[in-house]
Amino acid sequence: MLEGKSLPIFNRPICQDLRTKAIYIPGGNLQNLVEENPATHYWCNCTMQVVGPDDQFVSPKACKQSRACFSPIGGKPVV
Amino acid sequence: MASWGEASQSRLIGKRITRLSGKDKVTGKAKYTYDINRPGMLFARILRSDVAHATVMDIDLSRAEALPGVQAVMPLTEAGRILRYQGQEIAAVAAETDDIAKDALRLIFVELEELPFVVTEADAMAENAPQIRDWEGNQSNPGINEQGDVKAGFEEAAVTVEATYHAPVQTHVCLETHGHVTEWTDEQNLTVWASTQAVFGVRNDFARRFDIPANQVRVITEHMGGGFGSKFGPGVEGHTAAQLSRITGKPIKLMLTRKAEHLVAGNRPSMTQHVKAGASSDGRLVAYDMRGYGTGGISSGAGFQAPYVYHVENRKTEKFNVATNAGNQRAMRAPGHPQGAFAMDSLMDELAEKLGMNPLEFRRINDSSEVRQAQYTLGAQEIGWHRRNTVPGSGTGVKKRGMGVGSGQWGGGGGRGTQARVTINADGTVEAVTGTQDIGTGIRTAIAIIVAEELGLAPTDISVKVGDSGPGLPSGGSGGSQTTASVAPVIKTAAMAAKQKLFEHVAPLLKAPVDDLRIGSRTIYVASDRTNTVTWNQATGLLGQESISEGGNWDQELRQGGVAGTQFAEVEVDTQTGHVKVLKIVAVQDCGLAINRLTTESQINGGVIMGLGQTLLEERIMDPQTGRMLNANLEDYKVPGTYEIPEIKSIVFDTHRKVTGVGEPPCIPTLGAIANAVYNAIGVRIRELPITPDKVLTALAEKA
Repeated sequence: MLEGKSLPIFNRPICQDLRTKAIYIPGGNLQNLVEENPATHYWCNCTMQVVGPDDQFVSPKACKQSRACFSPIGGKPVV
Repeated sequence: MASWGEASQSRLIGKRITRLSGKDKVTGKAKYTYDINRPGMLFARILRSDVAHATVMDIDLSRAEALPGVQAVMPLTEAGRILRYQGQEIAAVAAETDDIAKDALRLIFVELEELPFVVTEADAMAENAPQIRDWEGNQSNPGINEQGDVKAGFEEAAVTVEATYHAPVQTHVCLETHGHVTEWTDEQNLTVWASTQAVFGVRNDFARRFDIPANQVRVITEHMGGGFGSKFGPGVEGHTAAQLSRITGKPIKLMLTRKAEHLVAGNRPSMTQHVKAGASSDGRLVAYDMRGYGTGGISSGAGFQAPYVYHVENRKTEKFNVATNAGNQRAMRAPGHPQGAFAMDSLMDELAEKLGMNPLEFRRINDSSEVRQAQYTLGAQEIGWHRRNTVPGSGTGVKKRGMGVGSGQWGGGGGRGTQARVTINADGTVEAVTGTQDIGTGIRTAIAIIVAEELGLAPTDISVKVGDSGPGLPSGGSGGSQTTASVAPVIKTAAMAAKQKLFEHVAPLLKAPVDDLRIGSRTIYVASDRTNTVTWNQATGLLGQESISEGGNWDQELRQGGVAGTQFAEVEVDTQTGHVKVLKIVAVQDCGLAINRLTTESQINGGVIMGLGQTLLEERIMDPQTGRMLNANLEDYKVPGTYEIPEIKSIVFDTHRKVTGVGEPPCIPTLGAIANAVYNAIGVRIRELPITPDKVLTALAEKA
C-alpha cells in the first residue's frame, strides 16, 4: 500500500520484497524501509519469513544488492 | 472547508448506535473466511517443525502423494536449509477432506539434524550460548539514547528506586485463526477470501508473489475475527494456499490450527527493564537510567517505550533485541506501549511511595498532558480514589482491596490513501463503497452513520460495502488505530459531494437556489421557506435512470492525531490463595470525535480486557529442555473470560470534534493500574507479569 504516502528519500535501492507494517497502513513511516526501526518486524514477501529466498535474514541493512534475491522496486519477483 | 459541525447539530454522529452487522454476527449469518466453502474446494494443512532448531537433511513426500484423496503435496523448505523454531513450515498437503490432509502429513518423511537451541532470553545471552542468528551473542546492536545530564540528575534526587520489571511474550490469540480460501478463476486471475487487516495490502502481496497484475487479484474480507496487528501480509499459509490452488486447479482452504496460531502467527515481544530512577524532594522526576531488552523470537523488533508518558529531563536508555529459537513477533495492539507502561507506572508508584506522596499527585507533577490532568480528576472521582489504602496492604481480612492508576498515549490520526464512493440511486437507495475492512471494530457502521447524517437518512438505509478489493477503491490496512481517521474524512466528503449533486437536481423543482437547500429527515427543504419541501424519494426519483456517484477526499482538517488515556483499577487480592480479582476499571480515554459512541465504548472495553489478560493471565511458556512451547492451546494459555472481566466504566473523553483512532490506546494503561492496585492491596510489589497466584503467595511469604 504505497498509495497516498509521502515517499522517503531512498538514498539507495530498496528491495521491493522487503516488508514491514508501515507499508500496509495509512501514514506508515516508509523510512522504516531505509533505516532499521528496532521496534518493528521485517519479513520477505517471497518467503513470508524473516529470511529471504537465500535463507539469510532480511532487514533494510541486510537486503542489499549483492544478494541474489535482491529485486529493486520496479523489478521482477524471485519465486 | 468541511467540518463535523457542532455536537448539538448532530443527529447521529456521536450517539450510541447499534452496529449494523450485530444481528448477522450473533445469528451466524455473517461469513468469515473460516466459513467460506467453494465448489470442489480442497483442504490444506501444513507440516511444521516439532523441534526448535535443525538442519533439513532430507524430505520425502512420495508416501503422502500416494495416499488416496491427496491432490497435491509441496515442500516448503529443502535439504540444507535451517529450521529456526518450533512450528516452522516444512511441507503442505491439499486433499479432498481435512482428515485426509491430516493423515497425509503423517506420511511425509523428514530427516533433520538437530542443532543447539535457545528459547529463553537468559539462555540466549548466556556465555557460550549457540549463536542462532546474525547477532553476536544473540543480541542486536543496542540503541542508546542519552539526554540531559543523568549524573547530575541523580545528584539532585532526594530518592531513588532501582528495580527490574519483566513482561513475558504474549500471543495474539485471534479467535479466527489466520487463513485463506484461494481460487484461481484462470491462469491470471486469483480470488482470495482472507482473514486480514489489509485487503489491498494482501492483494498487492499476492500479485507480486505470483507476478500478475494487482487488479487481477481480488481479496474479500467480509468479516474478520481478530488480528490485533498480526494479519497484514498473506503469511506463509496464504502464499501456500494460492500455490496449491494453482497446482490443483481447485479452490483451497487453509486455516491455521490453534497450535500453529500460537507458534507462528506472531506475538508481542517480552520486555525486561533494569531501571534506576530518581525524584527530587518536590516530586520531580530528575533522573532515569534504563538498560533493557526483549525477545521477538527469531526476529527483530522487540522495542518498547521507556521512559513513558512522564517527562524526565535527564535520561539514558539502552535497548536491544535478544534472538531466541521461537516464532517471530508481529505488531500487537499498541506495539511496545503496554509493557513499557507497566514498567513506568510501577516505577512511578515506587518513587511516589519513597517520597511519601500520593501517586496521583506525583503523576500530576510530571505529566505535561492537559488532557490527562483532566482525566486524573475525572477518573479519581469515578473510582473513589479517596477510598484507597493510604498505607499499602493495611486493609484487614483475608481478601484485601486496593486501587491503582496507569496512563497511556497514542497517535491514530489517520492518513491518505483511501478512495470511496457514495452512490444515490433513483429508487432512493444509497450505497457507500470503499476498500477498507471491518476488523470487528465497527467501521461499517461508522460509514453508515456518516453518510446517513449527511443525507438525512437512518444508518440502516445505507448499504455499506467494505472488505473487497473488487470495486477498485483502495484503502489502507487497519493498523496503528488509523482506520476511522483515514476513512471517515473521505466518506464524509463523498457524501457531501453526492448531496450537492442531488441538490442540483432538486433545485429547479423547488424553484430555489442550490445553496438555499437543506437536508431534513428524509426530506430536502428550502431554508428560506421551510414549507417548500420534497421527500427523499421524490428527490431521488428525479434521477430517472441515472445515479449520483461521487468520490471523496481525505480532508486532514476532519481528523487529528494524538490521544491520552488514564485508567484506575480496584482489585481484591485473596491473601490465602493469591488470586487477584479485578473489581472495577475506570477507563478515561481521549478519542476526539467518536463517530459511534457505542462502538467506541466497545473498543475501550476490548482494550481493557486485553490489558487485563496481559497483566494477570497471559504468558507464552517455552521449555528450555525441549525448545517447545508448553501452552500452545487455549486451555493452558489463558485469556480473560466472563469470570475475569470486571465492571468496566468506559468514559469517552471526547475533547474535540475531529476523528481520532482509538483501537489500540485503551489496552495500555490497564497493566500499570492493576499492578499498582495489587500493591496497594497487599503492600508487596510484583514486578513480573503476569501477576499469578503463585507470585502473589511467594511475595507475601517473603514479606512475612
